[in-house]
Amino acid sequence: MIVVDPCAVVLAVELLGRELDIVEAVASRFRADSELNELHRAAAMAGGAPVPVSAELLEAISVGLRASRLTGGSVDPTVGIALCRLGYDRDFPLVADGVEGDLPDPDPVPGWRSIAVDRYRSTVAVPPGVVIDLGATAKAWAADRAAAVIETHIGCGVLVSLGGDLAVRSAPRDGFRVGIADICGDPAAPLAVSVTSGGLATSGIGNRSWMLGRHPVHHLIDPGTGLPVDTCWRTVSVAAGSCVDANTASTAAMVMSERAAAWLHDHHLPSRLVRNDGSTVVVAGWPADSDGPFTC
Amino acid sequence: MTKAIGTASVAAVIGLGVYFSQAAPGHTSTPAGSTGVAASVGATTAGSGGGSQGGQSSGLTPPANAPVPVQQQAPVVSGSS
Repeated sequence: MIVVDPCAVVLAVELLGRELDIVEAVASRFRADSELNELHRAAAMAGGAPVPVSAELLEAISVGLRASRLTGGSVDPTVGIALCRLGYDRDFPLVADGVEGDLPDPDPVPGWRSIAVDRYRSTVAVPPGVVIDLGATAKAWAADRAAAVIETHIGCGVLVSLGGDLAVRSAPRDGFRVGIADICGDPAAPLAVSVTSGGLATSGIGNRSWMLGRHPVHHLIDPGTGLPVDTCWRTVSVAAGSCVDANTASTAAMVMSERAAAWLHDHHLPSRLVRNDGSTVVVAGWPADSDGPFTC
Repeated sequence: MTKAIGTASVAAVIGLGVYFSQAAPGHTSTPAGSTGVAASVGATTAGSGGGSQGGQSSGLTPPANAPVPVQQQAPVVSGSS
């Protein structure tokens, strides 16, 4: 996190911590006591009937469903069971060294349309057996929330970075400098850009992959098969009006593979796509890699 | 327009006996005439928790300005995680 006013750092850290606690308590798939898992249990007992939820969980799920709608289902929050079948049923550090098992047969995920949100009654209906995973949107949503809270309470510019998903509010005139790399935090990031508003996110498979028995797998699921997506991209970085929109688009681009560049262009989302061979494509105003030199 | 969509969707729910998924304010499962209430609920959520800038918009929002290249070292790095 970066705050423009150095005197505000302590309060900003406290506000950020509070927001992260809220989001984790609401949306974590790995915490047995998260409200999301309470929803799963209640939904099973209710046979799929609507279950009352908090405003925060309602919003978190709505953000996930919106991402599905706007990406034609390329991003889908019903991938939870698919991830569990691949061994990703616990925090990633417990999976990173590999898990036992065989690659499951293709099996499409239940689909985002199976989830019903009623904003008026603040309820969510989840069919029995469907596991919601908000990994594609929750982190970016938390970054947007935290940046907004910090800006509102402190009144200064802020950049919140959560695992490489960035939200920016009230940036200084020249913006915040951000390195772009395959892996979040890589000090050898090959280029840097200035971001003045909204959000920026990078999706890829390099950092969250593991061995399932003898099979290399990763966390980006193709909703049509329930298996790790076979994509032509190593990473996709997208800038958008919010961190949620940036991460929605970057995740969708990984799933869309060859269709991604045209789709991002059509949505006017500045993006940098890196192919598996390291070559790059830029669209919608993202600076070409040759617009350097860059030093990070 | 939103109220009309909500009314038509409620009629469809009654007719089909199923729920539609809802990813945006004012869509489905909202009784006719209550779109304003749903919007205010959404607004209240956004106000109390900071909300999500893109969470209520009907489409993916481009940034106000595209990123511009810089030559200085960057304190923050965006990458996959």
